[in-house]
Amino acid sequence: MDPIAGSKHNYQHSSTSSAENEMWLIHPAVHREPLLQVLKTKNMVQAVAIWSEQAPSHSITAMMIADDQQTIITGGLEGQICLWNLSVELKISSRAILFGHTSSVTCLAKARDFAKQPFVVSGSENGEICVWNVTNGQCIENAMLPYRHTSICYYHSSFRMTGEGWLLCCGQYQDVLIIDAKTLEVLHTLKSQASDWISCMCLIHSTRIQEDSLVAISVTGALKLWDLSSSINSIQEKQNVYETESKSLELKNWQAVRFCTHTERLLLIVCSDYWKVFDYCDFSLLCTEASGSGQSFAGGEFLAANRLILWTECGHSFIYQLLNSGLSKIVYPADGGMLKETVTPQLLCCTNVTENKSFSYVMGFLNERKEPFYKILFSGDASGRISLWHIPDVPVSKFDGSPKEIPIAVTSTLQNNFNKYNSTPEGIIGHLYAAVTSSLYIASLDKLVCGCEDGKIIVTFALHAIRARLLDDRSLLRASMPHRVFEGHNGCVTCLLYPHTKSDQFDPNWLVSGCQDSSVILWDVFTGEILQNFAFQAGPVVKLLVPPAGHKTKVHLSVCCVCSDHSVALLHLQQRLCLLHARKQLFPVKMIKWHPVEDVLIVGCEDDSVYVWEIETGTLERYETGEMAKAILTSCEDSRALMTDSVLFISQDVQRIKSPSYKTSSSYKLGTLPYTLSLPEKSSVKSTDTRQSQSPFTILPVKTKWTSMNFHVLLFDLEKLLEYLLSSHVNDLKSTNSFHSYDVVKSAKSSTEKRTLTLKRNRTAGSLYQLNAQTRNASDQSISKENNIVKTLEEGSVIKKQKKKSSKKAIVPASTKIDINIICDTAKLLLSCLFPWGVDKELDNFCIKNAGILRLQYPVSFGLVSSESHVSLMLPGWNHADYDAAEEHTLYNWFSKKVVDLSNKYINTIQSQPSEKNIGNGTVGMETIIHLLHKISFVNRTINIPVGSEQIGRHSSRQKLEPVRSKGKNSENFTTSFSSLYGVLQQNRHKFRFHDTDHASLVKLISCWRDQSIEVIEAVQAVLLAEVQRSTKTLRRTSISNHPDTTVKNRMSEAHPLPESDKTEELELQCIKDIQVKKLGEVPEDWRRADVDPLHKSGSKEKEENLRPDFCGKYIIRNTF
Amino acid sequence: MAATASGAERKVLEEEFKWLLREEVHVVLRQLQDILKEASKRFTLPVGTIDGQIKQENFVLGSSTMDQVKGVLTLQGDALCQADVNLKMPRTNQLLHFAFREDKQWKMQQIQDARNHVNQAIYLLTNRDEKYKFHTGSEVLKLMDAVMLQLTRARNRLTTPASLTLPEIASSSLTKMFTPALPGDILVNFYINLNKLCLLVYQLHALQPNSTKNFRPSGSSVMHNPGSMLEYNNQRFEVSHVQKVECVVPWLNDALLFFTVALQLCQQLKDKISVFSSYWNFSPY
Repeated sequence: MDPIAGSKHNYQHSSTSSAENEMWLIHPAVHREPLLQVLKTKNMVQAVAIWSEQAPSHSITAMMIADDQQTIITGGLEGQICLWNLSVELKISSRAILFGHTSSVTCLAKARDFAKQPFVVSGSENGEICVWNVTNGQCIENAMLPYRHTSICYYHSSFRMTGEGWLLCCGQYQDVLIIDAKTLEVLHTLKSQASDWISCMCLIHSTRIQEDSLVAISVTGALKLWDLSSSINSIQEKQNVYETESKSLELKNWQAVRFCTHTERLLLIVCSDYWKVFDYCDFSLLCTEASGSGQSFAGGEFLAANRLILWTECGHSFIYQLLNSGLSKIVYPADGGMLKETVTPQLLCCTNVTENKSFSYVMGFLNERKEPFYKILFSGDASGRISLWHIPDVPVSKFDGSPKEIPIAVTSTLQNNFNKYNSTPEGIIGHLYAAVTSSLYIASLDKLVCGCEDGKIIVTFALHAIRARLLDDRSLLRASMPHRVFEGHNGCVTCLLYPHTKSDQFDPNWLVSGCQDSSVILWDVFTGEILQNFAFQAGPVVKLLVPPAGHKTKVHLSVCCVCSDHSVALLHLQQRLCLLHARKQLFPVKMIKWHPVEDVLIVGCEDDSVYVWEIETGTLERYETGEMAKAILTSCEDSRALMTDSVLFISQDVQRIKSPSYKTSSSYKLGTLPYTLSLPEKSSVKSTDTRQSQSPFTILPVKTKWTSMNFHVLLFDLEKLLEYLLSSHVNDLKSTNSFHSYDVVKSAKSSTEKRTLTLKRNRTAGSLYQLNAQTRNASDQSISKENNIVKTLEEGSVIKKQKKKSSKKAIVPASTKIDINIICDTAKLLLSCLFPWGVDKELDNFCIKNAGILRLQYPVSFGLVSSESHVSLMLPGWNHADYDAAEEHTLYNWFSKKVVDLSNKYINTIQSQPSEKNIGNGTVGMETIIHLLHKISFVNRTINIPVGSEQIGRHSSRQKLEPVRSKGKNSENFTTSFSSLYGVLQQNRHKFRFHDTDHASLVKLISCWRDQSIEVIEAVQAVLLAEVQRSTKTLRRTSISNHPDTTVKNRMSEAHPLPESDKTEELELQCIKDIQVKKLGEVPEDWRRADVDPLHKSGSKEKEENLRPDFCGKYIIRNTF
Repeated sequence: MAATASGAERKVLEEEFKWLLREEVHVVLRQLQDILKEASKRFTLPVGTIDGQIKQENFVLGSSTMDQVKGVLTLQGDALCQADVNLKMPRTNQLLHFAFREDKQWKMQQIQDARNHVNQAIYLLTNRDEKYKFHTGSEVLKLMDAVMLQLTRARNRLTTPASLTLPEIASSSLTKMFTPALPGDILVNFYINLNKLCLLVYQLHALQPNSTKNFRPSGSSVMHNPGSMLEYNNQRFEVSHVQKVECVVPWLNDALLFFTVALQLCQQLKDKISVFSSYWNFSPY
C-alpha cells in the first residue's frame, strides 16, 4: 500500500513494476507516475488555469513564513502547496498553488540561504521530497525516498562545507538523515546508541562557543545531542557519527524542542501534556507546566529571554514569563546534590480561536528580523484558514493579573480570495451551467463534455467554450455558443469516460457517464441518444475505467465501473450487458487486473487483500490476503509476456503491436479515483498521449480531494502550434478571421469531425479486414474527397520536410486532421492570454484590430510547468499584491511591473542593431501571429536552456558561430555556454528571420534576464509587448519609407519606445498623412489588395485621435474574406 | 436519489447524520482505542511499564525437515538480547556454536517500527473522547485516514521483511555481534515475517578469481537461493547452502489480528459517513 512501510527495496520494487499493460491502477500513492506525461515532450508548454468559483480544498498540514517575510507557505493534506503574499500591513492574498506531491505534505522548511535563493523544501507522507522556488513556484529538484519525514532543518556551515548545505531530516524512521540540499541524495545518518524514531529536533547555533549542535528527542523520550560542526568532516567521509550526549526524559509524545537564542542557556521541551524548561548546560530541569484539560500542546518558541509562547493542537496559544527566582533563592537539595535554581512560569497573554473553529491546527512563530520587526504567531487549520496574530514586543497581563487576550490580526482562506478576486465566478462553461461536477475533454473531437450537479451532461466545442469564457468579446461568442444537453441522469454526474481515446476498438460514438444515484449511461456522443442505462444499487459511481485492449475475450469492448460501496462492475458496451458485478470488497479498490488465460478479474483492495472473480459465472473464486495476495498480483504481471504472444496470434491488429505507439496507446495506468489526491485526472492524459499529441491544445480537468468542483488547466503546445501554423502558411492558406464568423468555424469544425471519424474508422477497418482492400480504397477515396485542405496540407508538410534538415520532428501526418481554423484560433487564444493588456491602449487596439487577438475579459492565471509532474498555477488574486486597489477596475494582465522595463530594454537592444531587414514587415493577421509565436518560443527556449548545457550542440555551434564572427558585427566573446545555447537555437534558425547578429544580441539579452531570475512569463510578455510595438511601427515605417524621410528614421532610433508617447504620436501623424498619400497611387503592396478609405470622425483629419480605431480591423476583414 | 429526497426525508437523514457524529462515532472510536491499546500492550514497551522490567521471552527456532540449524533467541521488547545458534556444517558434519556477545543487543527494526506506528495511531485518537465534538463528516474521515495509514504501515512493517543484498547482509553489524566471531563464509540474518521470527543462515564458498563461472551479483531479496553470488571485500562468493528456521511469536499474531480488526472498524466508520455524503451533494457534510 505504501512504499515507506516496506524496506528501501520494497519501494524500489514497486516503483519499477512495469505491468502497465493489464493493470488499472487506481490509487496514486501506489504508483508514482508522471502526472503530466504530455509535458514530457521537449516542447514548451504554456499552461493557463481556469478556476471555478469554489477554491480547491486545502487542509493545512504544514505552514511556514519565508525569511523574506513576504511569503507564507502552506502545505495541505491534498498534497498541494500554497504560496500567499504577506504585505507589510499584514494583508494576506493567495498567490499560487503548487502541484507535485501525490500525498499529504508533512513538513516544510527552507532549503537554502533565503536571501540568495528563495528555496523551500517540502516532504510528503509517501516519501516525496521537493525543493521549490517560492518566488515563481518552480520545482527545482524532487526525489522520492522511502522515508516519511516529520521535520526538516536546513544546515549550512559556509566555511566548513562545500555545496549548498544539508537537510537534516527526522521522521518515521531511525535516527536523523542527512540529505544533500541540492541533489536530495541521502548523504549519511546521524546514528545513536539506542536507535529509534526521532519525534522532534532543533538546530542549536551557539555564538558563545562557536559550535553547532543538533538536539533531538526520540519517541521513547531520549534526548540526544549531536555535535555538527565538529563532525562535518567525518560525515563527509561517511564515518559513523554517534550522539555526544543522551538523557532519558521518561515521558512520551514529544512535540517540539527549542533553544533560547537570547540567553543561549534555556531549552524548551514541549510534549502533549507538559512543557518543560531545561538548562542546556547540564540538562537540569528548571520548570514544568501541565496543559489544561482537553488541550494538548503542539509546539512552542522563545519570544525573548525568559519569555516563551506555547501553542496547542486546537489553535490556542499562551505566552508565559519565566520568573527567575534566581540564585537568591537557591534551594539546597536535601541529599546534597547539585545546586538548583527554580523558575516559575507566569501566564501573561493568550490567543484563542472563537470564530470559524476548525480542527487540527498547525502553528508557528516568526520573530521578524527585518522591518517592521513584527513578532507573528501564525496558524493554519484543516479548513484551510490561515490566521496571524501580532504579538506585542512586551506582552503584559491585565491589571488584575489575569491573562490578556491578543486578537487575531488577519485571517484568510483560499475561498475568501476566490470570492474577492476571482472576477469570473463560474466554471469552465459557466455561462451555460455553473455547477459542473465532472468534465472530460475529447481531443480528437475538440469537444468538452461537462457533467453537472443536476444530472445534465453538456457537450460543447472545447475551444469555443474556452474563448467564450476568457475573451472580452464574449457576449458575441456566447450568443453563438453551440451546445447539446444530454438529459438522463437524476443525480450529480460523478464521472465521464470516452473509451475511444483509450482504445480504437471502442466505437467513437460511445460516451459513458456515471452518476451519484449509481447508474451508468451509455450515450451516443453525437446524437445524445441513450444507448443503455445500467443501474446498480451500489452507491455513487466513483470511477469508470477501460480494460486493456487487444484481448479477444469477454473484457473486450467493456468498461469497468467502480462504485462507492467498493464494488466493481464490468459492463459490456457492445452487448449492452453487465457481465459481472463484484460486490464483496470491504475496502476501497486499489487496482483491477485481468488474467488473460483464466478469464478472471482480480480486484486488489487498499488493505492489500485480493478478490478473484470469475467473469463467466460471476462468482468469487478466491479471497486472499498477505503474501498470497501479493503473489497473485505479481503472477499477473509475469503472465504479460505470454499474453502478448497470444495476442499476436489471436488479435487482428498485429500492426498496432508493432507500431511504436503501441506502448502508449495501450498503457492502462489510468487515473485515480476522483476523490484521491492531487491531479488525478492528469494521469489519464498519459494514456491518450498519442492521440492528443496531434493537438497543440489540451484541456485538463483537475479535481482535488474532498471537492466536487474542479478546475481546468489549458495547455498550449507552442512548438506544435507553430508547426501547424507554418505548414498552413506555406500554402498561403490565409486564415479566416474566424472570430467574427462563427459559422465558418462551425462548418469547418463539423467537417473536421467527420473527417477524423472517417480516418479513425478507416484505421480500424484496415486492421480488422486487411485483406479487404476494396473497403480500404473506398474509404481512402472518401477521405480525399473529404476536403481538399487535407491534401494541400499534406503537400505543404512534404515541402516543409524537404526544407527542414534539422532533426526536429517531421510534421506529423496527423496534421491533416487538424483544422487550420482551430489552430489559428488556438494561437490567437494563446496570444490573448499572454499579451500584457492594459500597458498601452494603442497597442491593445493594434492587437485587437490588426492581429485579431481579442482582449481578455479578466487577467488569466498562468501556470508554470517545471517538470512532468510539477506544475504551479497562479491563484486568483496573484496580481493584487502589485496593484493598488484604485486601479482594480482596469484590466491588467501583466505578470509584474517589470514587464514594461524589460520590453524597453528589448526594444533598445533591437534598435541598437542597424538591421533593417526586420520581421513583422507590416503584414498583419496570420503573419503577425506567427511572428509573435516565434518570438515566444524563442524566449521560452532561451530562458529554459540551462547554463552550460548541451555538449552535443557545442561542436556544431562552433562552426555555425563562425559566420557571425566573421561579420564582425559582434566583437564580444561568447562564453561557452552561450555559444552552445546559440548553437541550439541555430538549429531552428529557419524559423527566425533575423540577422544573426541581431539574434545573438537578443539571445544575450534574454539569457541575461534568465540570470537575473526574470520569469518566463515576464520575459514572454515583455517581448510580446515590444514586438507588437515594433509591428505597429514597422507598419507605419513601411509606408513612410516610400518617402525617403531620413529624419523620421533617425528619430525612430532615438525614440524611447514607451514612456515618451508624444514621439509616437508624431509618428502616428506621419503615418496618417501617408495613408492619405496612398490614395494618390503610391500604395504599398500590402494595402493594394483592399480598397481602403481611412475612416475619420468629424474634425480634423490630420489628428490621430480622429482616425476611427476600427478602421484597421475593417480592412483586415475585407482582406481575408 | 439525492435530488429526489423530499424535505421530510432530508430532515430525517440530517438527524440521523447528527446522531452518527454525536453518538456512533464515539462508540466506534472507543472500541478502536481499546483494540489499539491491546495491540500496543503486546509490544512490551521499554518505557512506561509499571515494574520497569521488560520481560524476556525465549524462542526455539527450528524446522521440521532439517536439523542443521538450531537457534535459541531471547526477545526483550523490540530487541534480541541473546541468541544461540548451533550449526551443523553440511559436508563435514562439524558442529559450530555462536552466541551474542554479552554487551550487544540487536534491535528488530520491524518490531520497533510497528510499535511506533501503533502508538502514533493511539496518539491520534487521544483527546477524541466523548467530550470532543465532531462537527463535520470530513473531520471523521480525515481522522480515520490518518489512523488507517498508521495501522497499514504497522501491519506492512511486520508482513514485509526488508529485502537486502548479500553484501548488505555481510557488512551489517549483525555479523560482528557474535562470539566466537562468525567465520567468513557464514552469513546470518534475522527478520520478522508475519507472526514468525526467522533466522536465515547462508553458507558461502569462495569463487576462484580465475573461475570461468559467469559472475552475476544477485539483487536484494528477503531470502537468497543457493547459487546467488556476491562480491565482498574484493572476494567473490557463491551461496552454497541456505537454512531457514523460524518460530511463531504468539503476541505478534495477536497484534496482526488487532491491526486487521481495527482497520476494518475504521473502514466501516468511513463507509457509514460516506453514505450520507450523497445526500448533501459533496458539500462538507
